[in-house]
Order: sequence, then structure tokens, then C-alpha cells
Amino acid sequence: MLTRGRHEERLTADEAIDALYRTRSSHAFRLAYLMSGDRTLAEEIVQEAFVRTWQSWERIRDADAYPYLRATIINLARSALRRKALEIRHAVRRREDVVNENLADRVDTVRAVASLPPRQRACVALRFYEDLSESQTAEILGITVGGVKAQTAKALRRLATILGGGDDDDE
Amino acid sequence: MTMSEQHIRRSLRTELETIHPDDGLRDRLDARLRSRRAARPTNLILALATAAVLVAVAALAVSIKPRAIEQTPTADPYASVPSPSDVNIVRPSPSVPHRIAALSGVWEGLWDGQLPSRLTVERISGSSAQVIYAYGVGGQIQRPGWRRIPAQVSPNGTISWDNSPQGAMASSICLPGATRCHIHWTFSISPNLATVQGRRAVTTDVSNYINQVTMRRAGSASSAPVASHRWILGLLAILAAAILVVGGVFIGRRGSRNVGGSVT
Repeated sequence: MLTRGRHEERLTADEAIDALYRTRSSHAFRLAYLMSGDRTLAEEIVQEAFVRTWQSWERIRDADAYPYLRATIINLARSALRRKALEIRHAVRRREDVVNENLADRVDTVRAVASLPPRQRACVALRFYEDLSESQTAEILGITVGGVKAQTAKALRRLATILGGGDDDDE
Repeated sequence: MTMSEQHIRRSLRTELETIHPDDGLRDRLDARLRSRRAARPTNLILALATAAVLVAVAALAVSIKPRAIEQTPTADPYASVPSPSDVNIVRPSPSVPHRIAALSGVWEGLWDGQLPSRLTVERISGSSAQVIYAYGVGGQIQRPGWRRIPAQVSPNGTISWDNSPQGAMASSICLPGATRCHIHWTFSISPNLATVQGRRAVTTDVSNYINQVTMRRAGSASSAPVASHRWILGLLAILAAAILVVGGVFIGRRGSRNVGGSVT
């Protein structure tokens, strides 16, 4: 909780960002990395997400700023991936080469997730790395719970294909 | 083939545990925050500059434009109406009924929308008054003139007098060919005391007719609407400037509060 003292006095934006960075920066970076599959892009996303959280601190009602930071990371990552849509589509077609060189020395699951389309990637990240419910995931992504279920199921099938060597399902 | 959710969950945690941000990330984040902070005072300066421009517009609207209008000869239809140098308006006695006392002062209007005229009520009591009636150039009258006249006052707030004009006034008011001409003048104040309704009933041996005029207090007839618009414009500009200043100060306070601490 980003409050101070017995009277639950709210922290200033700088204090809140300082506390958030100390406690959640590694986790936030990993989430950004899982979404982007690129260290450089992940760092860029995390920096911008922290800055936007700092700028919006006065408007954040929740004492814990991490949900805001997390949603910002997801949205920034999806925007970045949309900008690179051609590259992403190319990468999806060439599944084995999909993963950025940064992931070349990483183990399979993260690498496989990075080959998913952005929305499926976000569903996997939020459901299985952030442990959010389907409704929480739907809220962040701006889609229905049914949409989350469908995207997650497709993602799991595709991951099984990649990691298990089976046939690929269509998206 | 469907992957176990638990397996994905476990694998992601295990694999991502080995990934850490660079040590320099914090420094780069701080640098970015500093640059965002630096941009905030710019918002305040921009708001103040815009407010200053609006205040200048308000000042122009309130002061400079009216003078320009007043200096335009065509803007004052009563410029041709003469006025004696010894005009002396005496404040009515407190015993004079309010409705009659309200007639005191200077009234202006156009007879039949053409001839500019001015009625100056110098002294007035419950039963009598001394007025100056002056007229300018308009209609058939080419030579302006004025007269100081003793008049009667009726309890309902009407000033009246009679005369049989001669000379220029007779030739312009009374019909050509008339050998006898009599005019009955009345000036009645309106219920809201804002205007005076003038009426002159002309009786000649040729025909009879009536002219009318609505008079307003001098200086209020043509310039009032302009002044009204002027002040509305000025007030709007000042209001907009105030909003900008308050908004700018608010943004500035937020910025300075955030700048007060340190992320590092």
C-alpha cells in the first residue's frame, strides 16, 4: 500500500514512484519483456509506464499504483506491437525465428509466448503471469470475458503446438 | 493438444526469474522524469501569457474602441444641435414629486426620426419649469436654433407650452401658405422614467397635424448598446483570463509539488 504512517497519509507522486520502483520494477520489467520479447523495448515500455503513473498519481484512487502500472505496460506493449504489426506477422509466420535475438538464449515458454499475436500474448501474460481472473483481464484489455476465454484457449493450443511439437491451430 | 495452465504458469515464473532489468534503468527513468517535470512550468507560462493577451484584448475593448466611436462625427446625430453657454440645471427641490423631478436634465430625440432636438429642463417645480428647447439640422430645417422657454408642469409629469412661431421655425414647422400657426408642445415622462414622449400639435388656417418624438437622456441613446457589448466583451475576456490563470496556477502547483521530492 502506497501510504505512509498511522494516519494513512497519501504519498506524493515521487514517493509513490520510488516505492513502486523498489518493490515492483523487476516484476514490471518481466511483464513488459514477456509482452514485447525484447529487452530494449521492454525497458522503454517500463520507463514510460512509470512516467505515466507518476503523471497520473493525483488521479489514481487506489492506494496501490501497481494495477495502473500493469495496465499501462500492457497497453503500451500492445501499441508498440501494433506499430510493428508487419514484423509481428512476419515473425508469426516464421515461428522458429519469431523470437527476438534477446530470447535466443532463453528457455522455451517465454520464447513461445513471444510468438503469439499481441492479444493472445496479453491474455497469457495477465492470466498466467499476473494471475488475474478472466474478468480482470477482460477489463484491462477492453474485451469481454468470453473474448478472454477464446483468446486464452487459442493461445494455449498454439503454445502446446510450439512447445509440444504438435500441429498448429489457426488463430 | 492443450497445454496445462499450471504448466504455463510455472514455466513462465521460472524462466522470467532469470531476467532482470539493467542497473541503468533507474537512472534513465529518473532522467525521463526530470525532463517531464521541466515541461510543467512551461504550461504555467503559456497560461499566463494567454491570460495577458486576453486582458489586453479586454482593455482594448473597454477603452480604445469606445473613444473611436465617440470621435466619429456620424455616430452622434445630435452634433448639430446647439446649446447655449449658460445652461444651468438646478436640482429639483425634494418637495417636487419624484415623477416630475425625474424630468430634470437633458433629453434628446429625433422628431419623426429626422430632426434632432434637445430638451433641457433647467428648473422644475410642481407646477412650472424653465426649459431650453434646441434643434439641429434635419428634415426641412437647415439652420439650427434654440429658445429658453417658461413652461407649465402637470401632476402626471408633463411639461407643456404654447407658441406661435415666426421666422425660420414658422416656415419649417407651419405649412407654407398658412397665415396663422399655433403649436402646443407637450413632453411627458414614461412610467419607467426612462424616456420622454414629445408631441407638438400644429394648428394652422390651412390644416392641423401632429409630430412626435421619443427622447432619451443625453448620451444614452446611441452609445448605450455599444457600451453594453463592449463591457460584455471585456468581462468575457477577463473571465477567460481568470480561468486560465487559475488553471495555470493549479497545474503549476501540481508540478511543483511533484518536483519537490526526489525519485532517487
